[in-house]
Amino acid sequence: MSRIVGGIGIAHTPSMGYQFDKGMQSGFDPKWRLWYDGTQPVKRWLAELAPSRIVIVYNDHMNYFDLKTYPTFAIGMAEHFPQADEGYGLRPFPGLDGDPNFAWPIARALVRDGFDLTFCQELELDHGVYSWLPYVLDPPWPCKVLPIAVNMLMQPVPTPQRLRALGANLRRAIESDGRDHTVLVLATGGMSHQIHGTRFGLTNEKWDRYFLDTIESGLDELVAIPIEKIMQAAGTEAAELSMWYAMRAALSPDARAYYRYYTLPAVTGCGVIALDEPHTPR
Amino acid sequence: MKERQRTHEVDLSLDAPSAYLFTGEICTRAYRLNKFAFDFKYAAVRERFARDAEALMTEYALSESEKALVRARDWTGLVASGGHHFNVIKIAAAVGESHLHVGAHMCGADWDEFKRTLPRAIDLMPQDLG
Repeated sequence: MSRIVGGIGIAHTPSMGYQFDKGMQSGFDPKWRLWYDGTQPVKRWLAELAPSRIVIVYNDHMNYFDLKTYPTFAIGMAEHFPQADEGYGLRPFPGLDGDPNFAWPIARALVRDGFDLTFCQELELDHGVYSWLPYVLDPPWPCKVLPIAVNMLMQPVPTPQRLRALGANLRRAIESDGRDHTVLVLATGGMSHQIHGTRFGLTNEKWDRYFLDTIESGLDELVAIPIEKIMQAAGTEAAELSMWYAMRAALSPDARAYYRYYTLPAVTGCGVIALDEPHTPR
Repeated sequence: MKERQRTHEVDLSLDAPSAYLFTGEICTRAYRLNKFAFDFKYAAVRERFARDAEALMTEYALSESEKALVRARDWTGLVASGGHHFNVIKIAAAVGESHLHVGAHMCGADWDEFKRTLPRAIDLMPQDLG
């Protein structure tokens, strides 16, 4: 039986990726050096955990999905997920591999339990994945991934309750898989930020730190906060944090934070939490 | 347009011009504008824009007012007209303006002054909002 061995919640932002490439080439900007150093314990933890599959709950930013047909939830069934060109050319990283033999039983179980996802035979991954990826994994990427894309750019977006339910169903789906995969569930969404309107550039470190502290054991408390209020206090794009609920709900209630880190290098709160499952041998 | 609140008081409004939430209704209404802007992710479209912007805009069936906003590099106007900010920044990037330049435009601020104000930190908690 496959089982979940851990979880990661992590922020994403285009500058995180750009600053990684720049940092590796000519040294990090001091503000981004903090984020690089702050994520290295996650990288070591993940290398030790060595999951055989990673489920990634993320959102695209008009870099793969256009508005012609916009899925609320989409799942990648392909054997390969190239990096999406956001208009600045591809960054120097290979695409990620998928595993249809893992993806289809998961997708079937999700549909059975009420999640009617859009099945993608092609899917390119943008900075929603590639911005944090090289901070926590080294290429060649050591394991295959199963991406689940969530609509976060056109209202109405799925509710916090629905994202928590996605996580709970993911857990059932993974545990009903007959193979012996060790699965990490990762969710990514920017923390406080707003990138339009006269509130452009708004950030809220107090909220971000509270969120990082509370997601470990206070999921009910977080899910109960109306998303509009989070958008008011932490910026409209902080709504992306609700994707982290899917990660937390996929893990057992006993999962505990192995590590958390927060910094605010530019206009988006950058935080990460790594959660251990209690049964994970260490 | 209501008066713009700046640094001293926290503006909690999610309505324009404080924020531009992209709704499904806006998506339907401004579909052609967004299709045009989305396609700037393709180098071939950016090259055609550089060569003959008018022909490209006509091909994508932009309205006269949308064309005027593109000509004026009026990023705020394009978002206010229904362009998704992720799409509008693709047009901005094609003419050498970053996402932060678009932010300065939205705030009606001078670029250097705007950069100094970032990030605009607040410490309200969502739970404390009425």
